[in-house]
Amino acid sequence: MKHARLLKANTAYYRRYYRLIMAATLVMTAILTGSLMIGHSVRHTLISRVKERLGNTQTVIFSRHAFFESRLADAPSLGTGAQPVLLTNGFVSSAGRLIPVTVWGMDNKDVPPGSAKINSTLATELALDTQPADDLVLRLPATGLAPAGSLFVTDNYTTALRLSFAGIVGNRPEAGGNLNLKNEQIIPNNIFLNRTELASALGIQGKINLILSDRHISADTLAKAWNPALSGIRQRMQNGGYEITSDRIFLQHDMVANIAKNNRNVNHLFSYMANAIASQRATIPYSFVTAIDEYNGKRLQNDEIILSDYAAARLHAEKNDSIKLTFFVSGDLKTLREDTLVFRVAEIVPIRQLSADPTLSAEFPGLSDVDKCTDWDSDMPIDMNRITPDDEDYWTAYRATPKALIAYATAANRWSNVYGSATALRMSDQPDMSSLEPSMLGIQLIYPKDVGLAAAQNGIDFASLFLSLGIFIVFSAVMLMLVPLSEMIVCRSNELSLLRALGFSGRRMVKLLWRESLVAVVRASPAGVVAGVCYTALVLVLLNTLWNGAVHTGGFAFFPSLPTMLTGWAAGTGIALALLRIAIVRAVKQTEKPRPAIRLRRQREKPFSRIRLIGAGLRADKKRVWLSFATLASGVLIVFSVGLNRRGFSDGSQLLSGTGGYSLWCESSVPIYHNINTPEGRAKLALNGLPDDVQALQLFRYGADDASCLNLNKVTQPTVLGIDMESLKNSHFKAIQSIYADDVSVFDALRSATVPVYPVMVDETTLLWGLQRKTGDTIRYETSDGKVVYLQLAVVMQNSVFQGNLLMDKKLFSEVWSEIAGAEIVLLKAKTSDVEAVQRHVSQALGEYGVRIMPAARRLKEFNSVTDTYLTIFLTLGGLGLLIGVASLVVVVRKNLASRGEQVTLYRSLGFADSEIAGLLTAENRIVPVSAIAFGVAASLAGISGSMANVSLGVWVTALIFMAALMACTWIFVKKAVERQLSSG
Amino acid sequence: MIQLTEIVKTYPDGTNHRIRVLRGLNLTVSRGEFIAITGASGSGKTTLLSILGTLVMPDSGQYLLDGQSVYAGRPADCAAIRNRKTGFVFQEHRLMPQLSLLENILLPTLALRSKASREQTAYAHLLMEMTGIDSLAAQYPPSVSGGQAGRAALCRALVMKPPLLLADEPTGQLDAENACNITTLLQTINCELGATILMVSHSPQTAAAASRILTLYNGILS
Repeated sequence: MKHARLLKANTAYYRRYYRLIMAATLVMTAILTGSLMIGHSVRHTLISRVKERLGNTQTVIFSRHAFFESRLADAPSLGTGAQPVLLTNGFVSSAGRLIPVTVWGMDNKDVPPGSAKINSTLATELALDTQPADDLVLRLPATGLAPAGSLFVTDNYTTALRLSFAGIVGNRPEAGGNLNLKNEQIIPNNIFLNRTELASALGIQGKINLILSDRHISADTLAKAWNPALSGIRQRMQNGGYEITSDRIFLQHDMVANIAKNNRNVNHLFSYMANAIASQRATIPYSFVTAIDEYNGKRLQNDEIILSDYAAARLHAEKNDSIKLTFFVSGDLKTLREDTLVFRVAEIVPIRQLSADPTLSAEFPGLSDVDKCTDWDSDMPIDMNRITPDDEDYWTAYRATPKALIAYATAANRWSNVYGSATALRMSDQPDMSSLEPSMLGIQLIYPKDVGLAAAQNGIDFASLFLSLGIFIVFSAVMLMLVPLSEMIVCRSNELSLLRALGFSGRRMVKLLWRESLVAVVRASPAGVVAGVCYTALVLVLLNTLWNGAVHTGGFAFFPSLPTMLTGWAAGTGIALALLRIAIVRAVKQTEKPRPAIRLRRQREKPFSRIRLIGAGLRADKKRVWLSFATLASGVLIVFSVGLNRRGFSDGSQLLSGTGGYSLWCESSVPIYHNINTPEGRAKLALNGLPDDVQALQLFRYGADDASCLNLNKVTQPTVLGIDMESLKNSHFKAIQSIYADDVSVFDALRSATVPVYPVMVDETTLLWGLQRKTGDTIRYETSDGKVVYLQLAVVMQNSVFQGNLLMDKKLFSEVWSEIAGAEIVLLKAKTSDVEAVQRHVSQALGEYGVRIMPAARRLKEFNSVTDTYLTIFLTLGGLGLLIGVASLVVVVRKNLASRGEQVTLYRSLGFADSEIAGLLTAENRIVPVSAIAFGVAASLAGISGSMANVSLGVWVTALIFMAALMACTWIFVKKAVERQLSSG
Repeated sequence: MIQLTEIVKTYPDGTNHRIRVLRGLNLTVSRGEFIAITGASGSGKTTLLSILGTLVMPDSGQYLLDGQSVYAGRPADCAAIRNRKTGFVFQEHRLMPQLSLLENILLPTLALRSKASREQTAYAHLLMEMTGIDSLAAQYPPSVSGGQAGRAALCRALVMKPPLLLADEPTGQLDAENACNITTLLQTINCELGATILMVSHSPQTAAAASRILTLYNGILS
């Protein structure tokens, strides 16, 4: 006789118990291994998605709003792998839908002019798998070189290309079909065009805004390869001196300041179109006027104006006469205000002298390059009726030659805009532009692969997520393991007493029992790993299908990992063995304890009743009762709480705080540069048909990464929206936390910044999940001209339609990203009865902007659907755990009844009828599950008491049915189990 | 009081055969008798007692209790007979560990009612006093001695004032002194309470306390 024989005999004899322990170990190991494997697979999928979207791109040279010469890519210092790209947004329409697309003008995709290749995602969107490819009509923002947000540009904001379908670009990294610079797992709709054709369509021939390189390029290397001419900064000889201009018309503030600082006697010029130049006797409409520091050696005083003799003649003006200059000043979203300046005529110069200097006026597309005044094509409202034959004659003879020159110092602060503070700089000496840097002209250096891989590796940890979602299953498995163990030890109490009598020490008995358990655990845990692999595969399939709402993307692939499997196996085995050892030690100690001391008689003897009899039965088995109760009650609590927390949208206030009271959310592919709240803006956008009471909230967008719960990557730089804080203050959006004192209005506080720290508002979900930050944290950004700023997460708002973005005061936003002056997001508030009509009207009117419009409540619901899907997963796993909990309860009840054979005989011998015995046993065994269910339900109701009104009727009905079914099953099961026990006795 | 006629009881032997434990057993017991049944192990003493207590049904034969067939009624009637007319004393006492001694004694009172009446509780106290365990009413079975547990089991069998007491080796697990005490008690109960007692015992000393001793051999009483 050996120990091994004893071990074998014991495990065989008590196999019914050990089978349950094995089942529990299997479940626990499966959940642990599965969760780790899910985490590994999701992370691996995200990493492979990074490789897929970036290929071998290591460095990106990128200009968000300006363009640079494609020659930069040919610079030898950048190497041979630098690939010039022209990147823009656009949209295609298919079956009445506007599909936003990312447009790549590339040389290496082998796309002939007049055709386009697309990626498979877009092919699916266009249903090319079910129908033959048709020509694609691609609509693009008519970017041009002149900033679209400036006043003197043509009002044609979009352009279109009809392209034949040239094929699908594969998804493999080397094919680059899923090229994307954003850190997100969602695959964009990509369309690839011939770069030259795209540049031509956008009116920016020879320009690009992106270079992809397969090598690491440092800032120094870029600085060496770059020169200002590559960013469209022109330098030429002019009247014996030098002149600096930009092909974007305006010279950026910082560059102007830099050149002024590094050069002597810089003469600033700002060309503008005045609405009128008027003397007391006459008026000339629509004239080019140039603000200048100094003309022909004369420095203009602030109130001085130099008139051409032509203008002086038409105005009947003489030296020292008063001249009134009227002009438009463009505010936010081209909201125009007419302004006036009054000057004194300082000098009258010959018109030929002015026309001999052709660059005194800047070249405004749509204005400078037309044959007649009546051909002017500009966003500035021009009343053609005011134009006289004299004006046309002047245009024919002198074109855009300014009729007057005024002091730059006077005009600069009125005419300067977000794009620049001068249209030309003049100086006598060779300009020194050596201190200009690429970043000042908006060129940024990004290392997307490093950032992308870090974002993927630090993204949402699905291992922890699924561990926490499945924790109840593990808890139930522990119960399933400990209950039979304790039952078995109770059964073996005589055996243990015998062993003790035979000289076995407590430690030896523990060892014996633990070794028996070890055999069971070691046998079950590898099967648990296999089950874990199946669980992983199942969850990934569900994430790609039924649970897709949680991730809004597909393609999660199973990536097996031996170390992860081993970790799961070790964790499952270790936890099971540790728990079993603790339970065995406690149980063996319990059997060693002497009989309890004699209890004292109770002070007041209560009458003996059946209730006391049942209570005594329960008290006798306290541990098991509490374990069963706790498992079942917590399972019901989890399932009910999760179920009742699903967003039902029956709570109006929750909806209001999420949408701010706005009815519609619009997103456009082309920025909208007009104010929808003004009649002029509506007229420009063909929105005159909108009801007067419709209010619009137009938001600027600095496009970066999506930090909403739809993005699984860890976002370091989320998209920022510029918003009018006053409108936000007057809406129903609610701030719930801030860094400011309680008596401060957060919306007011958000309007001021301590440069370089700018306060922003963030959605609660974005803060917690997307960014994983806390209030007061800062995030680093770069401004349009390369300066570093920090956005401080100053205010947290309730879950809202702004999820995934940071909200910044519009004025502060314009300080940071001055180039962005068009709204890409519009919120519309309309009467409920008008919402549908407004939606239809806006869709039609702004169709060429690629506006996609949806009810704000639906957008909120989509975000909430992510939470709801996670709750569904939790509910499913919780339900599974509950099932295991119920299974353990079944075991408990059966074991309990099986051990009551003698008691049943006693009852019978004492004259209890079988029905009476059944009543007693049923009551005793029902009381735990029924009270656990009741407790779980009550606790979950108490937990949501504050928001009970939010729970929809459907959820209530489902919950009620579930509870009733659970109760009925428990009721019937106990009844049947008791009947079986009595009939077998 | 008891009339058993041609009682036959068989049990399966694990093969296709059956073991005949009782082979046409006949027994007549008058009211107030104290009968001891002896016999070898496996002779069917406990089976006989179980049949008398209506816990087991014979394969054939007739059982009249107070002139009425006990198997004529519904199963619930048998339970009522067990509760009102018979009291059981088991060899291993079968006290419920989760109940105090008093509660164990009062347990039969709950078979037909939801609560023990005051009279029944008082009677239980009286029985405990009579058996010398009245000071142990609030104690639990694991904390009392075997003799005390045996007396409590006896009180439980008597609490419903049954005319018939069935005792299966009541002294089997007791030392000589306690066994003597229990035997004396049974005699007292027989004499003072007038209960008819059928006791199964191996012990000649215990059996000697009975007014009639029967031996069960080969399935028949002699």
